[in-house]
Amino acid sequence: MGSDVLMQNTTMRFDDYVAVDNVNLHIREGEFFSLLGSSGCGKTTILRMISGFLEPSEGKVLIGGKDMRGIGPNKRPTALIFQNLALFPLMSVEDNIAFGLEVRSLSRKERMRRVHGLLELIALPGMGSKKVNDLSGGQKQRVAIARALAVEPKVLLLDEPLSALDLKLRQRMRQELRAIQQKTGVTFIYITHDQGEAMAMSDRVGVMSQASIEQVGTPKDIYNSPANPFVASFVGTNNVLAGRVDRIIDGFAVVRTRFGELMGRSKAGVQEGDRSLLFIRPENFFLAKEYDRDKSVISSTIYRSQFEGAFINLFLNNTNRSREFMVQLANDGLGEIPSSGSEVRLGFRPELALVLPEGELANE
Amino acid sequence: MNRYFQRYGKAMTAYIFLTTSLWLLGMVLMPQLLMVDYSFWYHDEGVQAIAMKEADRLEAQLDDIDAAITVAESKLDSAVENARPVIETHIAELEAKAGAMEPLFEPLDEAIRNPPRIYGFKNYIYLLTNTLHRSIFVKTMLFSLLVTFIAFALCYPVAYYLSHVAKGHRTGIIIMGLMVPYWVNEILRTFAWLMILSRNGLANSILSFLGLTDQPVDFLNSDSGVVIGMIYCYVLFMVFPIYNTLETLDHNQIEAARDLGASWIKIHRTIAIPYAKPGIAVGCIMTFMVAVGTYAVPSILGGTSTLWFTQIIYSWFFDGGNWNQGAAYAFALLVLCVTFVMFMMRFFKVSLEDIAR
Ligand SMILES: Nc1ncnc2c1ncn2[C@@H]1O[C@H](COP(=O)(O)OP(=O)(O)OP(=O)(O)O)[C@@H](O)[C@H]1O
Ligand SMILES: [Mg+2]
Repeated sequence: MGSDVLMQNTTMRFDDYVAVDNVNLHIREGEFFSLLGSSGCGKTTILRMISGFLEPSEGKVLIGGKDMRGIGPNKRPTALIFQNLALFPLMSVEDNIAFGLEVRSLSRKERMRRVHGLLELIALPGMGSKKVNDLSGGQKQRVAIARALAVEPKVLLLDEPLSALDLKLRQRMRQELRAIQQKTGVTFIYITHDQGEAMAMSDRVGVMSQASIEQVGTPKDIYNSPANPFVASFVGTNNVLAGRVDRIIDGFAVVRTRFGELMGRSKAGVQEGDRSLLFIRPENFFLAKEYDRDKSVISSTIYRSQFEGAFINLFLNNTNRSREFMVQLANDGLGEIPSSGSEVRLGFRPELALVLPEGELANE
Repeated sequence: MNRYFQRYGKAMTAYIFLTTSLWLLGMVLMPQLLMVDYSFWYHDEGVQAIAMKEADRLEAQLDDIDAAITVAESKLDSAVENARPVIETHIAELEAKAGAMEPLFEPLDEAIRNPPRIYGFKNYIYLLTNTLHRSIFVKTMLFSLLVTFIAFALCYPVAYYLSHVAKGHRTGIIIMGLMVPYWVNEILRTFAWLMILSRNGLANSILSFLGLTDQPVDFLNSDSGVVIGMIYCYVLFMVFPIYNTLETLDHNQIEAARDLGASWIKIHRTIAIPYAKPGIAVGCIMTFMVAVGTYAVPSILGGTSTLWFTQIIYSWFFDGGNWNQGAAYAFALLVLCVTFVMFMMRFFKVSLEDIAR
């Protein structure tokens, strides 16, 4: 049996509230897949449908090509790691890890062998007899992973498992998780609302808005060619300029914005004369020379300049205060730092600017 | 002590200590000690009997003297003049004799009313050697255990349902539903069961309607009525402690166990019940205690042929008038309860603090 997960037209309703709306998703065997979305958008609900705690109101969930309807969480080839870990506090580390094995009525010797293997894997050898509550946060985390891996799931589901840890530990655990995933070859479905986490660990990322999936792709795809304004504004920081498309030439659209005519890569669906959105990421700007082409140059006053060491952040005069216009310049250590109130000319490469049809943006 | 002075000040500390010691003395120690003391002595009935005999003998003597005086007085009226002084002195002598006997009664009366106490195990030995009482004691214990066990079997699923299955306001409604009947006085509730369990009551109607019995079951003159009534009266003592502990069990743990492949039985055996142990221990202890100590239920539902140990204690105090014997029986019951508490603590591996929580 394969271990890919397929969601077909899956909808989950709680009474009248639609928590997951007609989701189609294919998670491939052995990949590290992250679901990225803001709080309350339905990530946990998707995970619970895959693990079997919720039956979809409509549509199907297939694991390894097999329809999972009517199969309880104890009979599915999945294992779930809870946000709060849900370790069994009355049991030792060993007993926690062995819990799922005991259910499968393995011999004691075999159980112990596997538990020791797993303790090795999570780098906690010799800790088996400890009480769960005597462990540190990171150690608990690893025990939870080992407990889930013990039952040899085809698919491991992780619901923001690192959110309770401090930054340092979180970064280390990311690497460990990734390493464990590669060592075991288990399909990982990882939920997070931390973009950095999703980008750093995943083979592919699914970006969710309220109740539906907006785009699925590699971290690079998601970041560099967002499919719609929601993803463009949700992933990373992006500056957005609204305007009407004046003309399209060779895949580049010229958009009339409040900074004048600007040019960017035109994505599918952009039509001459339509209202559209032009996205330029802060790090794609440079200080322009006088003679640079005007369709890729912005002239504006700086209302705030922020020195950040490696970077200099400039905030441009902006009528729309809820969405700042930010420019990030690398600090080369030589050039002058533009100060607040001064005029600047900022250029960008039109290939790095993106023109998308008008659509909903993610909330800041 | 200094620590307390610093924290609460002198007056407050003194007040706290005074009230606590009064409470300990008045509420905890004194009644128990008094009962224990009572249970270890008895009135010396031999002395009492001798005193009674002696008093009777003196009484008879007094009667004789009184009769002699009456005779002498009747002679006095008809006697000749010079014989009178002789008779009068005779009467005076008799009266003096009677008067001299009066003080003899006092120690006898005292010995009869309040015979000397003898300390010893007689009251307990009586309980051990009286086969009827002994068997009632054992029966009370066994039936209380049965009531406790059945109550647990009924209440654990309810407590689990309330704490982990029922959602939102439904939990509140069910809890209210459980509690409302208990706002009615225990005696009244028990009388309701008297009606339900009587020969032509509701229970028998249902049983015969379902075709389970062809003759009415005599619940009331057997122990089954008492057991049923007690389970009904005391389930709350079991439900709420278990509910309170299960309530704090993280539902994710149940789901985690389920996700790892555990069956429901396994989940309850390895996750929920071990977690609920303190609550179960408290529930069992409370149910057992009230079952052992109940008086109303067996006297209302038990009929004449079944006796509960508390009823015997009651009759020692009020019908038999032997408080010492009653105290010994009561103390035996207390020892039983304490033993049960210790056993439960050992069995469930919970400490006194867990239970008090
Ligand atoms: N059992 C339920 N009954 C009713 N509504 C629910 C239930 N479970 C989830 N919801 C609702 O569905 C929506 C999505 O919830 P979900 O837990 O999937 O969000 P999430 O993306 O995991 O959020 P977070 O990042 O905060 O964990 C929420 O608005 C939530 O209130
Ligand atoms: Mg969630």
